[in-house]
Amino acid sequence: MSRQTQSEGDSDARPATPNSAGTVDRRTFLASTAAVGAVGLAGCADDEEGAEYNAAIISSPAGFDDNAFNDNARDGLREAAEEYDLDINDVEETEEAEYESVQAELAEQDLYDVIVMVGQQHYDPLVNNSETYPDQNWMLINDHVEGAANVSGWIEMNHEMSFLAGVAAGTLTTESIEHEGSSTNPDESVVGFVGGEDIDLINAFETSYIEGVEWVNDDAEVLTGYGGSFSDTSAANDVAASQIDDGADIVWHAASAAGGGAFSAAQSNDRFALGVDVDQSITEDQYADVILGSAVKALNEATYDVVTAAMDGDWGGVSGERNLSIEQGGIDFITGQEFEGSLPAALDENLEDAKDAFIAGEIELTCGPTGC
Amino acid sequence: MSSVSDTDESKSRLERIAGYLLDATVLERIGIAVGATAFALLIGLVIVALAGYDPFRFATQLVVGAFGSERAIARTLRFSTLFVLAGLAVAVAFRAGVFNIGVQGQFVVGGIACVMSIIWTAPYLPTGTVGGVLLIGIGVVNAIVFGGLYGALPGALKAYAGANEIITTIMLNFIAIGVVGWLVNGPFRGEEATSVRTEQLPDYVAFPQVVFSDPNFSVVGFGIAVLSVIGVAFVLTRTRYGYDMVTSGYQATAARFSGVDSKQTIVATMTLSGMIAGLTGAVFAIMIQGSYTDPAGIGNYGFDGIAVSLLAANNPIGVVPAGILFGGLESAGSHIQIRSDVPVQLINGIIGLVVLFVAVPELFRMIGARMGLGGDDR
Repeated sequence: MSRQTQSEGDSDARPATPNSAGTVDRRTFLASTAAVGAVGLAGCADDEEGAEYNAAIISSPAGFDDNAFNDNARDGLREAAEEYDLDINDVEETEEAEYESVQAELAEQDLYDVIVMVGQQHYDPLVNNSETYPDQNWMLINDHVEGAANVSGWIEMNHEMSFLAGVAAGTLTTESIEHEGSSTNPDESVVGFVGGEDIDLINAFETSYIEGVEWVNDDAEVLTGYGGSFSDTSAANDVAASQIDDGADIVWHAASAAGGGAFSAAQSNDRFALGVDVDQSITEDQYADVILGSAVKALNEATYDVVTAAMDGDWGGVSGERNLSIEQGGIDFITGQEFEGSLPAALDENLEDAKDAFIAGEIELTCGPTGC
Repeated sequence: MSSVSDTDESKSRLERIAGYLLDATVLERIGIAVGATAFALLIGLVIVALAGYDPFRFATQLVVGAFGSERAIARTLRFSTLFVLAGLAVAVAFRAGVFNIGVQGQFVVGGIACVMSIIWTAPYLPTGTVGGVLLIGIGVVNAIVFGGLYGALPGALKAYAGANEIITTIMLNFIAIGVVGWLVNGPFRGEEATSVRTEQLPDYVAFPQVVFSDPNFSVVGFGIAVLSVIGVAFVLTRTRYGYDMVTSGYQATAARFSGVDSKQTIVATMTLSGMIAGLTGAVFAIMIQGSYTDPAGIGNYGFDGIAVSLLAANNPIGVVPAGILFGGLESAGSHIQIRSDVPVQLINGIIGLVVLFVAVPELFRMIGARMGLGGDDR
C-alpha cells in the first residue's frame, strides 16, 4: 500500500479539476504566473497569489527535513500538488510558543484551503484558533479537537503498527532466510526490540510489538532494550548487538534517527532488522541488504486525502476525529526493496490474518497509540 | 578626541583602531550601529538576490513585517519586550564586569516558578480580575525571587570560591533546562495536557488587552520592560549601590581600594541580573505561553539578550532601541517566512548577519578596553 499505487489508482477515479483538464502542468503554469508577476511588479503585492489552491503546513518543533514525521506529512501535500494547481507554503516554526500567532496569521490571510499542523504541540493553540477562525479548514496530526467541524484531527495508531512489526518478526524468525551473508536461525525463535528513549510512547511500541510476536508465535522470546536516545546511533547499535549475541536473528527498532545503529548492528553481525514509520530500505538504503521490511504509517496519505478533500469541497468527508489505522489503510507492513517476492508466503498470510483480525475487532491491545 | 593623534608614528594600527572605538562619542556609536545595520542588510539583500529571490520584495517585506500592520507592530513589540528585558539582565551584569551567560537558565527558572506558584495558589484566591491581579503579583514575585537566587548562586561561587562565572552560568543553564524539562514532563505535568506542559494558567490570569488585541501581546508587558529599564538606570546612576557596581565594572582594583566590597558587589550584581531574567520568564509565561512547556523548545531569549546588550553598549537605556531592532528583525523574519517562499534558513542567516555586524564593533570595544589598547591615557 505505498503512496504510488494508491495515487495511480485514485487519479483514474478522481474527477479532473478545472486546471488539470488541459495540458498545462503546474510547472509551466507557475512559470507563466511568474512572467505575469514580473510584468506587474510595480504593485508590491504581499504574495504571488497565482495558484488556484493553496495549502500551508506548519512543522512540529523538530522542523522539516527530518526524513520522517514532518517530511512524511509534507510529502502528501507535494503529491497533491503534482495533480492539482496547488501552492504549498512550508512554515518551519520550531518554537512552541509561536504556534498560536503563526496559526492565526496564516488563517487571517483567508487564502488557504487547509492549514496542516504537524504534532500535538499545536493542540492547545488550535483549540482557540479553530473557534476564532471558524471558516478556516485545519488539519491536526496526532490529536483532534472535540466538536470542531473545521478540524480534521488524525491520530496514528502506533500500537497497531508495532503489532504488525511483531507479527512479521515472529513469523520470519522461524523461517530460513539467507541474503548477502546474513541469515536467520530457524531453530530458535528469538527477536529483539530496540527503543529510543524509555518513555510512554515507546513503551507502547514495545508492548504492542511483543503482543504481535506472541500472537503469531507462542514460543518466541523477545529481548528488549533502550538506547536512551532518539539520535545516538552507537547506543542503539550496542543494544541491538547484544541482543544478537543473545540469539536474536531479527531486530526491530523504535528509535527514530538512532535506528540506523540497529541496522548496522544487524549488518555487521550477519542478521536482519526491520524498519519503522517509512520504507527504511529506501531511506536508509545503505542497510537495504538487512532490512527485511518496515512497519509503516502513511501520514502522507492522510495529508493527501485531507488536502484533496478540501480542494474538492468535500471537507465533511475528512472532518472530525480520524485514525491512521489498519482499518483505514494507513498502517501496513511492507517488504524491503531487496526482499520483494523472496520472503516466505507465511509472512503475507500472517499479516493478512492480523489485519483482518484488527478490522473484525478481534485483537485487543494492552496499550493505546501513545501510551499504556 | 584629540588625545588619539595620528601623528604618533609608533602607535600600532590596532592601537589606533581600538583608540577610535574607545573614544567614540555616544552619537558616533549610534552612527556606527545604524551604519552597520544598513551595511549588513545590503549584503543580505545581495545574498537574497544571488539565491534567486526578489531583493526589493524582501526589503519591502522586512519593513512591512516589522511595522506594516497592527498585527506586525504587536508582534514586533512582543519580541521586543522579551529582548529588552533579557538584554537588560545581561547589561546589568556586563556593566559591573561580571559575565552572566546564565540569563537563559535564570529566565527558565523564573518562568516555571511563576507558573507553578500561580497554579498552586489559584484555588485559594477569588477568581476574576481581583484574583488575576493578585495571582500575577504572586507569580511575578516568585519569578523574581527564584531567578535572583539562581543568579546569586554562580555569583557566590565566583566571589567566595573563585569559580569562573562564565563556566558556572553555562553549566547552570543546562541544569535549569534539564531539571525543568523533567519537572514539566513528570511531577508538574498537567493532567489534561496532551503534550509536555504544565496545567494552563486560569483564564483570568492575563495582562489586559489595551491598544492591541493580540492573544500573545499586551502593552502592559512592554510597559513592564520599560519600567524595569528606568528602574535599573536609576539604580545604576543614582544610588551608592549602583555606583559601586559600575565602578567595579570600570576598574575593579580601583573600586576595591576606594572601599567597595568586591565580593558583595559580585553577588549583588548577579542577583539583580538574575531577578530581571526571572521577571523576563514571568512575562514570557503569563503573556505568551499561558503554561510552561519543555524549556528545551523555548526561544533563546537569554542568549539573544547578550547580543542586545552588546549592541546597546551595555547601557540600560540603550537596551530599549536595541531590543526593538532585534524584535523588529525577528518579527519581520516570521512575516517573510509565512508570506514568501524564501526559506527560513536564509532569513535567519540574514538576521544573524545584521546581529553580527551591529554587535561586533561593541564587542571589539569591550575587548580593546579590557586589553588596555587604545593609548596610554587610559
